[in-house]
Amino acid sequence: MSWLPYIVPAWIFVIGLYGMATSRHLVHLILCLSVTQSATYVLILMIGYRTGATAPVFSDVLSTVRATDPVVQAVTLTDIVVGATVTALLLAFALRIYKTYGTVDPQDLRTMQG
Amino acid sequence: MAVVQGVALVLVAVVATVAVLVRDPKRQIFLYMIYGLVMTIVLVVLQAPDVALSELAVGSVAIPFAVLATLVRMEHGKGK
Amino acid sequence: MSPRARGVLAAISGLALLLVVLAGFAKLPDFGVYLGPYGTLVDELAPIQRKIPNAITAVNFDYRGLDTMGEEFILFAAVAGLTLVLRKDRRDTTDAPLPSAGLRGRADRSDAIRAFGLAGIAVTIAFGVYVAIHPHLTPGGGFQGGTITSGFAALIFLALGYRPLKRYAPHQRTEPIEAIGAAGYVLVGVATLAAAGAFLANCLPLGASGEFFSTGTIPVINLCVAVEVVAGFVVVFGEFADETRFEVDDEAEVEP
Repeated sequence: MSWLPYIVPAWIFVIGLYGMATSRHLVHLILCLSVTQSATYVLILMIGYRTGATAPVFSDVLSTVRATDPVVQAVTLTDIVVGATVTALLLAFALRIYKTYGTVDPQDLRTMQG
Repeated sequence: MAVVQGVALVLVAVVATVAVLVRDPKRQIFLYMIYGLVMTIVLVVLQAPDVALSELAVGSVAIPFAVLATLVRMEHGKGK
Repeated sequence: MSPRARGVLAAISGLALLLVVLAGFAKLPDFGVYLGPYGTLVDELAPIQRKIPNAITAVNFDYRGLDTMGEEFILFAAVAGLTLVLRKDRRDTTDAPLPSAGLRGRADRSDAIRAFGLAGIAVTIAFGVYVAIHPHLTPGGGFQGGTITSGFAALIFLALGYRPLKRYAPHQRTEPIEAIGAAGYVLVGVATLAAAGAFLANCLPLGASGEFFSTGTIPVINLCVAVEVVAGFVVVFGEFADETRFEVDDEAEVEP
């Protein structure tokens, strides 16, 4: 079963892209983008995982036990919070589009006029 | 690979698929919150407690609030 | 292109992309085998060099502190962009609160919602600050704890209403706090540059492992990040709450 851990982030990534490509509502598209982003979190944390290891926090264990990689966890945790803020920015853009064009269907927003 | 890790990973793939295939945003928010919860479980199982805290806070509070406020404006406002 | 053709094309391309990605993943080491030297080195050296039990915080705020500064400024820029986009076409000026939609006031919220909301605000702030302020001892930190704490603004809006949110967290108060948090990080870096010759060098006394006042500049930087994340998300919630103030259609039901 060693192929399962690596097929899951690839599947989440591709299904998120499929949802974005066939979306009929801008908010649905933005949430699918968030799902696609989270596939990278799973992938990078799986690369940093070590079998039988514990979290890299040594408050209660000695620092010589096997621990997972702290560098990938450090970049992922800031990435999640920043990704949430960028998603909020995208929602503001979606509201702006709605106020200007009156529609939220990305397949109706064909041409940029004037 | 432990059983609990395999089950959690399969679960997150299934919930992600369902969250994408639900087209109505009002329903998709709940699926997204469930996805955040399952993702938190996966992150704990992969021995990453800090990341799990981040994902829990973001998936429960920040994103659903913003999406709900946007949907309220889009559905009930006067259009322009 | 019709939606059906678009769906079929997206499915075929998605499948092709999946195969290419899996072919790329086939060269990665097996799950559970970690080969990189950097992580192992940080795990061994961080508790000794910086006297910090939490290696993730050491990477975030000490070994890779410059990257975290960049991430914090992405957050700052996203919040600034959001306020710019949402305030552009409001009819009033941004300093006055917008008129309330409909005539529903405080009395329309049930007492249970208000009671649970107030209790929830207290618990959220207490737990969020607890998570935020000592990442050098336990899992936690400015990013996680800041996001948890910022939930109090959402709870105020949901449990008490729009006007209490604008009274307790007006954007004139939260935006300077966010700016102070963002600038504080850079000022700590400049101060260490003046004191020790390197930007964001850890030059304060390291103390003993497990104490609250230990590990040098890490708690200081973390406090700046926590302040900035809380204030940033409260600004975002305030802006989205402003968006729920709009002129209603005749009989549409609106939640204030």
